[in-house]
Amino acid sequence: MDARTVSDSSTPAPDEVNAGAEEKLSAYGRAKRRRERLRKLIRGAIGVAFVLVLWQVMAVAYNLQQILPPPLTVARNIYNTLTLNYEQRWLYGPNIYEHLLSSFARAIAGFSIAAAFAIPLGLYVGRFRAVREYVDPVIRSLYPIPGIAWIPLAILWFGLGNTAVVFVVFIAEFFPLYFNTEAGARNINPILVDAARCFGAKRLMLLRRVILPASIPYIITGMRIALGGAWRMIVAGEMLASQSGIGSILMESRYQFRAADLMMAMILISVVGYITERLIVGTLEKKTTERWEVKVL
Amino acid sequence: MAAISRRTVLLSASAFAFTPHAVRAVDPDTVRFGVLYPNLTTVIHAIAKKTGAYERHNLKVVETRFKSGQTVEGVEQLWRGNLDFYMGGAPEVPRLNSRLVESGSPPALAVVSGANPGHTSLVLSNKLQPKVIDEILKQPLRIAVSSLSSVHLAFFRGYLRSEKKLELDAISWRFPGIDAGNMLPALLTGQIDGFLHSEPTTTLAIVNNAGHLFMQAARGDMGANPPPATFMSARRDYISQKPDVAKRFLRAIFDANEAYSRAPAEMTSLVVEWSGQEDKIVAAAQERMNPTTSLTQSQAQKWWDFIGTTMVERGELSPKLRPFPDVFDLSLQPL
Repeated sequence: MDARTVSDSSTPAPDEVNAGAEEKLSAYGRAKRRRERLRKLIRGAIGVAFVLVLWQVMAVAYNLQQILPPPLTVARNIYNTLTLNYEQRWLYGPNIYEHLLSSFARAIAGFSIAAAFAIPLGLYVGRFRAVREYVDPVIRSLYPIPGIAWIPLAILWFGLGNTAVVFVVFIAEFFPLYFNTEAGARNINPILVDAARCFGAKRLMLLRRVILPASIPYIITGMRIALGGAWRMIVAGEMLASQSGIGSILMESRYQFRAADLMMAMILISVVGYITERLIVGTLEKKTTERWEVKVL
Repeated sequence: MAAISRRTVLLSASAFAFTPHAVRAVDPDTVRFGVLYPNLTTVIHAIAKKTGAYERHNLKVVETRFKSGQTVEGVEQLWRGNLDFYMGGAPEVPRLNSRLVESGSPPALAVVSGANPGHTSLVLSNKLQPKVIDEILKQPLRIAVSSLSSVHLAFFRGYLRSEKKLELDAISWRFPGIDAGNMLPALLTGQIDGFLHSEPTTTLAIVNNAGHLFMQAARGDMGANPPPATFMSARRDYISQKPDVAKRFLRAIFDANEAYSRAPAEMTSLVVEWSGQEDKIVAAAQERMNPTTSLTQSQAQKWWDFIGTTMVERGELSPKLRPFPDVFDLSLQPL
């Protein structure tokens, strides 16, 4: 056996060395990410716990139960309301699930209609300068009008009911969706479009393979902003033009000076809004970015 | 003529300097008063201002205006100590006191007077022309109210219970919550079949031919001697700290009552200015309202029996809350 052969059999091949190192690196990376996640979780929990303790201490020490009910009281109220085991008489009509469902349905309806109009329009306006020059002044002149200002008109046009609230949600959500989509479509690198054209891509293919994937980070950001705005608007709309939904609970609990119910409604809006955002935008983001391998802003 | 000696001058000057009470006695006492504006129900304050009633009682009234419909905000400000008196709404003060009583605290506010007895009207669409209410109680009508907590809904509930021996659940009506400003367009466009509200919404509906006045509490349609629909309230700590000022303030309001009662027609221009409504609307509305502000023990008890007890049954007020002394303190009025 020559020296070269001995050496070959005792030392691992360069590929094996690389694989081992990569595995070690990957394990290290995974452990690091786990540690980071844990650290983030612990720090977040400490932050939340600090706020809760401060809230509890202030509410009790300064006897603020009527204007700032302690978190334990609010938590108990949420639990009792969700289990329909009310501590005080329920003064807000149907049970909490019906109210939440009403608000959710209105938010999703408004969001879907806004997305159906704003995304295609944003893409179209973003890609064609001539169209932009016609449409932009109209959109920009409507944009400064706050969503809440449309409520009286919405009531006149659509009457008192779901349609008026859905309309104001649509109006409020349309603009962030439109502006983000338009910016995404306008800022596509022209080299990408030219390259696709060189390979023979025409209208629909260009839209499907280049424009939409390149705009998706902007569209997702617009959706995220719009969905948050939808919950803000739904509450405002329901406070003025509806007798169901979480906004109407907010309004009624204020009339009844029930601060614990008011805070319960606020927390439920936050939780449902967060879940909705994770479910809809999160899923959409994952599906589109994974498929098109683009990075969301 | 006797000469004034240097000693007399010095003594007078030092006496003047060391007795600030004497100086303060001529200074008016400041009262921070919150009112709904523009509004018909709080016009007594405008009359008191215009007729000089506050000045006559050595008061400087600092007015804070709250938009009509924002009674909760006014009551909150009164409770937080930013006002001394507040006028507007009615059930909000008992509700707030109830929350305090439930939490073991003493009631912070007191209803010291009231106005506009029977200020609740049931206006129906022109399509509905029943002769008596029994004809429509089983129809699925949409009767708008400003909110589920509306005093007019509480009043109507009291009427059903005391006069018809019925609970609200026993009739087929729905009560959609609509802001008062939207009731008229909703009635005109057939989105509702009527509303339960007060002035000027009622008069606006009649004048614009959107509906007709079917029942009006003030004329006895919902029972005899209806209770007041607007309360004047004060902080209890303020009353105990400054009883004299509080009494003078109520005296000034009673002077304004007399001025209105002497010549209601002459007050129309003042009501127009304060309410922001047209002359013809105000003139018509004045037939259905009485803004003079006073509340007797029996009226307060009537309010409690008619409205307060239905609020207790609905769960809006604690059963622990007693009308006297937890809600009403009528001792300031010069009755």
